[in-house]
Amino acid sequence: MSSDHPLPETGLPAPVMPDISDDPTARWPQLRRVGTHVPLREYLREVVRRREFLVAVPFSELKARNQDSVLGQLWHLLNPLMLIGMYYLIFAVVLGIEERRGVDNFLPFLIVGILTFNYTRSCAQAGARAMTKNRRLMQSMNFPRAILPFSALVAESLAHLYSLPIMLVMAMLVPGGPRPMVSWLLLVPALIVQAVFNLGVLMIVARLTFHFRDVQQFLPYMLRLVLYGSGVIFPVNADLITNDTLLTILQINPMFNIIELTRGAVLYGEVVPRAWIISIASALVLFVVGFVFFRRAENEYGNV
Amino acid sequence: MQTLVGDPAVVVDNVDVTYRVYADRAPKLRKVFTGAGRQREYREVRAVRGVGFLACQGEAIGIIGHNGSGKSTLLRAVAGLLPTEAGAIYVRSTPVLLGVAAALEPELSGRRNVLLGGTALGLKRAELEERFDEIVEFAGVEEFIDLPLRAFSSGMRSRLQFAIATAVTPDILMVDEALSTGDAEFKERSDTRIREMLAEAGTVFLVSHALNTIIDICTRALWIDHGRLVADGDPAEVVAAYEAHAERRKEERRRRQQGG
Repeated sequence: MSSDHPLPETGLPAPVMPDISDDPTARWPQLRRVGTHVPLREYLREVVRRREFLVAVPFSELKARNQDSVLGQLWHLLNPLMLIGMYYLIFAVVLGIEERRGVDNFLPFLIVGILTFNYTRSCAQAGARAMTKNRRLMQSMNFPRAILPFSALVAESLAHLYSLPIMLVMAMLVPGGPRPMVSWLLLVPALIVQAVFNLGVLMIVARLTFHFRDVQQFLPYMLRLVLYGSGVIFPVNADLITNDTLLTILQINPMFNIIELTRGAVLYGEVVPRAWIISIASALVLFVVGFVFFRRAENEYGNV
Repeated sequence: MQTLVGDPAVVVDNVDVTYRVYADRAPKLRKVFTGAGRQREYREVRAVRGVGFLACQGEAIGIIGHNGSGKSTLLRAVAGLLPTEAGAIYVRSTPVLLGVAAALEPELSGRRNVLLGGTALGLKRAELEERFDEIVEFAGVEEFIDLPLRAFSSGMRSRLQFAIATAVTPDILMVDEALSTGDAEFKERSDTRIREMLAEAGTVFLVSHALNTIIDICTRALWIDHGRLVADGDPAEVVAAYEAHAERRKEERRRRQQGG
């Protein structure tokens, strides 16, 4: 406010500023300063203390989602199914990728690719919504803000776990599809690695969207780019990509490796060490970077 | 000088809270590229300026002032929801703020809202189930609890919110005009609840335009004018001074209108 208003005449003694020039926590140890960076351990303890809240948020959200549509919860399943059908039509039927590029059993390849990619994609999109959607909650309650991305991850993971068995059954029904095998057990660590990776993505997108709302508009194009660069629909190999440098870049892309290790476990019964190493390393890096990056703005999130 | 009732629960030391309100106009694209638009144009609103006070256990502090004087901003800063520009705030525990911008979700049922709000305050699910009936009964919304919140009247909503927030006795409770929509009967119940809290050595802040409520419940009143603390003391005296000031302003305005 540029113009200064004259102080009103109160007829009362002017309020005295309390004499607290030095650190009041020395005199009253029970006090703590508001808005300072909480130590990591204490922060995590607060998150754990509110774990029931962490779970209550996604369950409420999953319930509210698609509540008004006729097919309701079925859309969790129908969306990837329709994507798979569409890509199959374009890439197998129209472009004939199976005969020309040596992909055996394109349909199982596509099913696993789309569903694995979808998990990361829906997490990134949830990150873009996480802070704006819960604005009212943040404006009225003081809880560790990391709960919001955590609970978004829980919601998306639940949705993914619903669709996972159906993915396996579908892949098995296709002629030449996989049979149940021991390597399916690798799906458990694969999902954990991807969840850690997704949490990193989620927290980075959440803070970026908080500062720049434009990310919400930009994100679909980024995701589309990642989709084509990660071998979701067509294989990333020397047959298809002739530029060596580009091929190397695409092959160290973490998303490509997460999809490759999942396909290895589900379809081919093989362990690709390179895929596992790159996936685990990038998941850990992304999680740490994401968490630190997100927490840097901890005290700003209420100010929307 | 005010005698301290107990140890301080809230210490506010010379605090400024400034909002940066970004200009409605987006920066010109040309300026973004030349670097001149790197800093987006904004206006600073100094909502709270140089406010300082100590609040002790067992105190009920009423905050009065004109619309836009910075009362709600001050409470939100003390609750840690807004960063301070200068000065420092210390609290004994995280305050529970009950504001007009309710944390309740309009699409979800009353039941789910109790669950969400309660767990956000750190209540265990089992504790919450134990207290569920008590909360609903206190809010007086038994028949409506399974309806989505958008079907609730504004009074019912604020009652439910108050009931959730006070389900566990908060150490520091801040009520920001949230009770103004409750009816007379609920006002009595919530006043009783606040008095019980005070007896348990809690600290209550109450922003209200109902000056009688401030005199009734509060042990102390702060008057905020254009972001500055102008009076701090006995509620009856502060309210009387505030009313006299408002009266003078009204008089001035009337004279100006007649003269012009």
